[in-house]
Amino acid sequence: MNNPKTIRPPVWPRKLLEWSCSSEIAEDLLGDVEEIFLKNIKSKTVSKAKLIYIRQCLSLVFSYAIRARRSNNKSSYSQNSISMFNNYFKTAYRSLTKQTFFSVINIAGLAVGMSVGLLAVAALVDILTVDDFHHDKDRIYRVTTQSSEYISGEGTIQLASIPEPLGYELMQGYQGIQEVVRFNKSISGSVYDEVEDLPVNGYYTDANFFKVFGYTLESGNPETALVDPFSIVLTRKSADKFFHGQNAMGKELIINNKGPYKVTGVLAPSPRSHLLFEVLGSYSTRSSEEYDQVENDWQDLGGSYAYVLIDNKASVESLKGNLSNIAQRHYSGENQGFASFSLQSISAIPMSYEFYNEIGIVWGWPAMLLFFAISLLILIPACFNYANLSISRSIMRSKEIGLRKVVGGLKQQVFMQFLVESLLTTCIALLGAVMLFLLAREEFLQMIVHGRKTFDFELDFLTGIGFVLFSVISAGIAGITPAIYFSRLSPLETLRASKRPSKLKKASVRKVLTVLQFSISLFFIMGIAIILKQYKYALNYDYGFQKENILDIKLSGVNPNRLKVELDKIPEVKSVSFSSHIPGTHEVRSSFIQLREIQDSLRVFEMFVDPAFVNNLNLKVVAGTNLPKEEALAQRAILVNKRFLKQFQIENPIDAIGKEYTIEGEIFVIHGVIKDFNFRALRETIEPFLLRSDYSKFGYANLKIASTDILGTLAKLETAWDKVAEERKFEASFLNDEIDDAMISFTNMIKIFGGLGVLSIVVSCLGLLGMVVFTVENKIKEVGVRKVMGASVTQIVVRLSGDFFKFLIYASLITTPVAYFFFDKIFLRMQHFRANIEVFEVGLSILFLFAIGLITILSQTHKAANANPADTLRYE
Amino acid sequence: MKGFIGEFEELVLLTVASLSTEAYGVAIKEDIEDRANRTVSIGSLHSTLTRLEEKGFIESNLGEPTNERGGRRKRIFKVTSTGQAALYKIKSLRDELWKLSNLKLAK
Repeated sequence: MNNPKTIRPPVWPRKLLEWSCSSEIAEDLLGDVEEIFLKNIKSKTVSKAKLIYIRQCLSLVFSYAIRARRSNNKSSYSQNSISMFNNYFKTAYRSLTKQTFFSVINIAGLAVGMSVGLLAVAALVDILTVDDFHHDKDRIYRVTTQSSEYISGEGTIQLASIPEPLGYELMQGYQGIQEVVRFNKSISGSVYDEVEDLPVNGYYTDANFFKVFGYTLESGNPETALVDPFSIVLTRKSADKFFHGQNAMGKELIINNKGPYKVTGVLAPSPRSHLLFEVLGSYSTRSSEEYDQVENDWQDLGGSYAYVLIDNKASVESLKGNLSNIAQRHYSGENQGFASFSLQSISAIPMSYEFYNEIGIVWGWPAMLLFFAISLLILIPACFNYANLSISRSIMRSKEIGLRKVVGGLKQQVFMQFLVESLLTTCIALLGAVMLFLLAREEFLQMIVHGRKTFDFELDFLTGIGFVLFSVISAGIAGITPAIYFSRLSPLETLRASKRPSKLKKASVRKVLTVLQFSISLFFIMGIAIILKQYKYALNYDYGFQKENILDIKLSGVNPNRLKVELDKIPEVKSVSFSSHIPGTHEVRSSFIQLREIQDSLRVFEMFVDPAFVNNLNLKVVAGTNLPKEEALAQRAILVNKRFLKQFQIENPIDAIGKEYTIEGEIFVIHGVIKDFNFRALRETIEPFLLRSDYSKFGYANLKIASTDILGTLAKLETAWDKVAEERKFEASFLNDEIDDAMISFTNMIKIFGGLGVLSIVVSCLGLLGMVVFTVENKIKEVGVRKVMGASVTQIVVRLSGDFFKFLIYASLITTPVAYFFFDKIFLRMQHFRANIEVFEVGLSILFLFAIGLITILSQTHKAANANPADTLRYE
Repeated sequence: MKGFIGEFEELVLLTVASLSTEAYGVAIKEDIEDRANRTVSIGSLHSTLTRLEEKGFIESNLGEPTNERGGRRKRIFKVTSTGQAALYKIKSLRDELWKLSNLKLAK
């Protein structure tokens, strides 16, 4: 029926069999299965025969017969391959030492290229091991919220926080839940001690916190520490901060004018976690005080969190079902579908990014991806260099390869040889890269906010494995191209007398790679130039108020009026005013304001100042008057900026005077309108803003100083301070310094771009140097002949450098538009008040690139052009 | 002494002996399947053959290439003298036990 000759068994089982042990030693087995197939085809249907064939092959693949044959065969095979590997290492070592110059360039380039990658790998390892110290890590889940209406216009958003009553609801006992730990952030604020106000952040949490999470107490009882209201547990660090090294146990703390909280425990130093706190207050504190208010507030999704310890993984689904029941029960009627709840495993938290209201610090994988992308931007050029230099040395190596192949070297063996060579190079480079990593990590940790809480960058076992893996991958990227190139060389061609392998001539790929490297370098150089300009622009920017010669003294709770009396006695102090915040920096508070007649409320920024503030900082009053001097009147008065008028559609500033607004339930009257000024940092826009007066809210005294001896004046101020402030610390700084400090993002950015720029320039210049040296060496005789024929040094230099010069030109042509687009359209959009990019910065960066590139090129070509032709031509 | 022989091993060993010069994988498999009325996978058969060979009861060498199986050679198995001795020992043990037992051979 079927013609057995035409029907073939499926191929893959045979391949699998051959792969599991080489086809020679399984010849009879392959024959057996095929014979069975041919017999079955005659008696059974084709598909059945094929099925049997597959089954028989699989039974062989996993059989003892194959294993036995393989291990019998291996003894001879593996010995062979070990000696082969020895040989690879030997040749790699020899070629490295033979060409020291190129090896040093390669190793240095790869070390520089890998250093950023090591930072990324170490960061990844650290993020993956965050929260590893909770014993039941795989059973801890966090309750999350999805809401489409919480922030209007954002669509459905995910929140890490939950409505507070949900935590209480879960504690009523649901199937599958062992423990519920609630968190609430409202404890954060400031601790007032005798000397100063200290900021503090932390959580209220339940007494079973220590049962679920892996934190341990250095002193105190974990069973009872968080049971009673107004109990508080400190971290080692915050205990030192608040009690200056004394034993904190049993002491008392006032936080946000509440308390006293009694210290019932001090935490032992803990590993890295996504939870971020200095203090833990007992949740019972919150329940006893405020619970009534929030009991039925299922609308507020901010500030509360719940973690559950479940029985086993299987209960996740049923728990999700329970959660959606709860949501349906509480969001009914007009609130239907307001929010729903879900669960997230604690191990998924560090890599998630989509949640609003994170409880602590979370990096998320997009940030990691960006980090790795940047490190690839530095690594890939270094790998290019390696490939470039290896291939361009092929004239030297090709004879060796030819000979290897003639005496029986296989293609795979040549391939392996070159991979081993690149592996050896990257391993040596890894040492250098680790050194760079150790140098850079401190700087890096300082740059990122809370860097130390997530990252330690310890060279531990896991990180070590990560590094080795990373260098193996780098070796692969660097070595694959030369390995493919050399393994394909035909021995015939390579052994023919001194003829170049033909493939080398069309080396356009190498040119493209070099141009790309310089493009990347130029990009970073431009980044530095552009950011520096922004920085300079910001430093000289007119904020709309006087920032020079204004000294801000932190009040730390000192009575403003008493301080003013003392300060007025000092002749160098021209005038004194008070404010709640420092203008021009990031910290300004906002509140909701309502026009009396209209119900719609609007968010405005505000600052509390005294009447002297306006004149002290030279703010311009456009209409109306300053805040009234009488305290009783001043408390009901506000000054608004022009932007505020625009928001409320008041055309003429005069019309605004006397209008009444409601803020926090109280009525305020506009007394005056001031010109817009940058009350926040420059990256932010100018928003509706108002000034009002409240003596209890003042945080700083602003002193206008006219003095030639600043240090002397400061000493006098401190004496005056000590009279009214008792033991409190004297903290003063000039307003323009404060504003400059607020620009730390600039300095960080300059550091990052500077660092990356230096690395990438080093890598590309090393590559260029290698190529130039190589070309020059190859053309040394040509140069000699030309000189003999009468060419001048200049002509020869131009001739030798021309090609490389072109690379630089192409690189600038490519990068300029890309960099302009990136920085102008994307990067600088983050800054609202900014300087535009001009030809000057672009030109300067290109000039810089050319200078560096030309120095590299000319150093070599000039040497070659000056060489004595008698030396170079001697052997001809 | 590694002379212990399992039931399937004994079956394979006897089949190899009975097939003499034609004892290769597929032939052994089919012979056992026909006689014992059970299916044998080629994998388990070769595993057993390999074990027997390791114990020294059989030896093997590759035959001549033929057209019918893609030109691949057959591996021909042969019972060694050690194998014969082992088979004999089993048989005599069985015979002795049969004699001692009161079982009547069923007709």
